[in-house]
Amino acid sequence: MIAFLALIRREYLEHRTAFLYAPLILLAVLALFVASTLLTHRVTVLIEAVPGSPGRFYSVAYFVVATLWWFYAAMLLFFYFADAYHADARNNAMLFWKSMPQSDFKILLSKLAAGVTIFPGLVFCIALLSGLLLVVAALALPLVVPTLAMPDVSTLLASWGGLSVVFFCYLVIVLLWYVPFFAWVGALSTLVGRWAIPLALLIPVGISLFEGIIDFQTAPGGSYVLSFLRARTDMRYDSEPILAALLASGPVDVGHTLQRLVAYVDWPQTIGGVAFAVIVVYLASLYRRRVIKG
Amino acid sequence: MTDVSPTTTPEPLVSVRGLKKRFGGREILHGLDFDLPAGRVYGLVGHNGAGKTTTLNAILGLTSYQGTVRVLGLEPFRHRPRLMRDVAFIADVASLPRFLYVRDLMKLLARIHPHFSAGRAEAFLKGTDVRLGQKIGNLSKGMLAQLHLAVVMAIEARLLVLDEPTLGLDITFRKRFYQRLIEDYMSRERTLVITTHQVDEIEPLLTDIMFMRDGRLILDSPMAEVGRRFTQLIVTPERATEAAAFRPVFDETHFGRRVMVFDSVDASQLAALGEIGTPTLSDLFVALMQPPRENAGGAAA
Repeated sequence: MIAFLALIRREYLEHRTAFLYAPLILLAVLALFVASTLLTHRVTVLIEAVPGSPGRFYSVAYFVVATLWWFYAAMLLFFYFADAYHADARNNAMLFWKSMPQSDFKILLSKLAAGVTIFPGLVFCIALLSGLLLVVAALALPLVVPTLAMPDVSTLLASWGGLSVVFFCYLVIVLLWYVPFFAWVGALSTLVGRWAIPLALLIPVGISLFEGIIDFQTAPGGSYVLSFLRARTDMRYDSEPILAALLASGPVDVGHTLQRLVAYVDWPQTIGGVAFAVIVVYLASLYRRRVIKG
Repeated sequence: MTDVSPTTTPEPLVSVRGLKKRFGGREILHGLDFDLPAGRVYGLVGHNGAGKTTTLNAILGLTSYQGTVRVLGLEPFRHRPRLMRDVAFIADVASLPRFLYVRDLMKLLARIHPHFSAGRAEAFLKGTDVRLGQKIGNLSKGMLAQLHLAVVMAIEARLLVLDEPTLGLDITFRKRFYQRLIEDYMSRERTLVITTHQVDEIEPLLTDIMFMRDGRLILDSPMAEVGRRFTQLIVTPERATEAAAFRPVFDETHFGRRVMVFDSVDASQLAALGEIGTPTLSDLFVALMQPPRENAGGAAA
């Protein structure tokens, strides 16, 4: 376990620029943006778009910023998986890592583990800091717009905490749901390097086209594969609880919101997806075991 | 079934029988047989494409093969992660992860490798230009070699394999590299296998020599035996026919002087035919690496 954690740390050291330093820079840019919006009174335009108390304005702003961070994390994770699984070959370090008493499966599994734990975790921490930055901004709002009442600090912090718990759980569910896609990209990357980026999409499309050629009539939408993937990429989660929590005038009901979120998760599909991820990573490790170039 | 625990019997550390390897239908190794006992320093020498690296890869569990290979009692391809606890290798000095700082590398290896000592590695580095705060990607090729050597010397391994470890380094670094290796690392329990093209530089270090040509082992002999077994003769023109009757393994004319190398021929018989001596390893290498048609005799492994 110590070795496995060290391998995860190695991933962190290799990719911290994308998942720590770059988000910190973006956070600094966000802070400048917020400060300039307040100082130049442009914030009034935003307040008109989201009428209500500063507390409600805060909830919506935090939701928007957190959503942007999730997009950032999803995009970076896709490229991480497309890169990290062949990084040792590309960096000419394959033989060094093979001189270590660790199996190829463990090394690839550590990349998967890093991709679904510390990296999204780091982005989540930056999202938390963004939320705190917005707390400060919400407290400063009445100074800029005197018509607004001064919000209660504890209420804002409770809102920050509640929403953060909801965002965290949502992130965990999303990662569990999409982990087979990440693992698919990673496994392909082990075989074909950066070509995994287009091939991750082209292969299922190609299979679907082939399927359409041989059996267009009976397959739903012309392809079983595409139909399944369409269904699998749609989480079908209930967005209503999050939106309701945002629009509520009182504090977020974390328990109720999470209950609704979890109730909509297709758990058999989620567990099947995780199993698929582990299997494709294992198959990729069988290939990597035979690779000595690099 | 293969026993997964390393052997403690006085068997050779490495035992190879009938090792064959094919790439795309072409046979690269043609059934190698050899043993590597403990406490020896082997030089594995051959031209590019002779099969040295493929042989080492088979021993290190990096490639599949036909035949029987046992390293410390384990089947290498099947048990590579287990084997790497007791085997260290440098296949390319530029293979260290360049994104890491030297200090991070030490900390990581201390957790990843159960037989690695960060303290020992740092002690080895004290006599070099490498500093813990340096990024590996910024190190020169010579410093990379020093760092990699410090890393493998800090592993309590029983077998160390160095595949062209000093390739691209200048002669100062090469000499220092081998000197440290022998002085600070070698012991009776350990065996060292080195492949290189710079035969002369490793000759003083070796206890045994192996020559490979076209996927075959054409010489596998202790160094002491090489001196007794091979004789170089500079023969006078009038005695050349007489000398050729002893079936030299190498026969060539250099600047008007006919040079022959003989395998297992009594030196006293040759002494009457010209000037005799012991061929250097590089002379022997040149002699034995000639295509078979140029070798009248041919050395038995």
